[in-house]
Amino acid sequence: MLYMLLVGCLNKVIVREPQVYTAEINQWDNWAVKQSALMKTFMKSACTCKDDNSFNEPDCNLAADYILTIEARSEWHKQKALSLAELGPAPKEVPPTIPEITCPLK
Amino acid sequence: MSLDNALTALIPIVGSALIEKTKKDLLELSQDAEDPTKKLVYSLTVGAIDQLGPEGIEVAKQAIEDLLAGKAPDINWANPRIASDAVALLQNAESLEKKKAKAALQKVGEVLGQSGVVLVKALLSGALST
Repeated sequence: MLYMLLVGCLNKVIVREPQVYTAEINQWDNWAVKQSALMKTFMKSACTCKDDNSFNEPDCNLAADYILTIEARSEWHKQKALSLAELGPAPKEVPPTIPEITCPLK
Repeated sequence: MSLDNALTALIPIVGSALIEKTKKDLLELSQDAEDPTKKLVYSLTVGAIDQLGPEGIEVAKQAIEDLLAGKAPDINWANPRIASDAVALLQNAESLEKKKAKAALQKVGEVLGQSGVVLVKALLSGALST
């Protein structure tokens, strides 16, 4: 028990105000999701297909990876962050699969 | 640069035996996609080499060591898929630690509770007054 208490004391613990922390997490998530949706709209006019799974423009392939990752994972990471702070229910342990790039992007 | 090319480029520096072993280890990791840690180690290594060339091996090694130590790795070079997998691994590890910590605290609480009863009984019987 003494060992546990000592180890516990050595770990840095940061205490945050729950409402502010929740607002921050929600804001970052919202920014990412909104940016992703806007980028997806821009891609329709700026990107051309090389084949079924890639774009001719290198930046479009990068953008597609970000969009697909944010669409698949943003909510999971947010829920996990909030649940770790005991501010919400925990999502499933395994994060959702990120789909492969398709052109045009679905 | 592909993983194979990057590793082949390192043969003059570290020798073919070590490169063959590394290739074999990475191949085994890539085949165990069910294990998220192994999958991430493989993705980080391949991703780092893809982005940074042979120097990526050292960068990936550092990132993997940080992850295993529960530290935030410097993976700004990584694509969002790898970065998300790395953060998910850290988040799940913290979640597991919290569960372990909660179970341990519960145990401590039970032990203290039992000791508390003994202490109160001892106080009442005057055993601690001497």
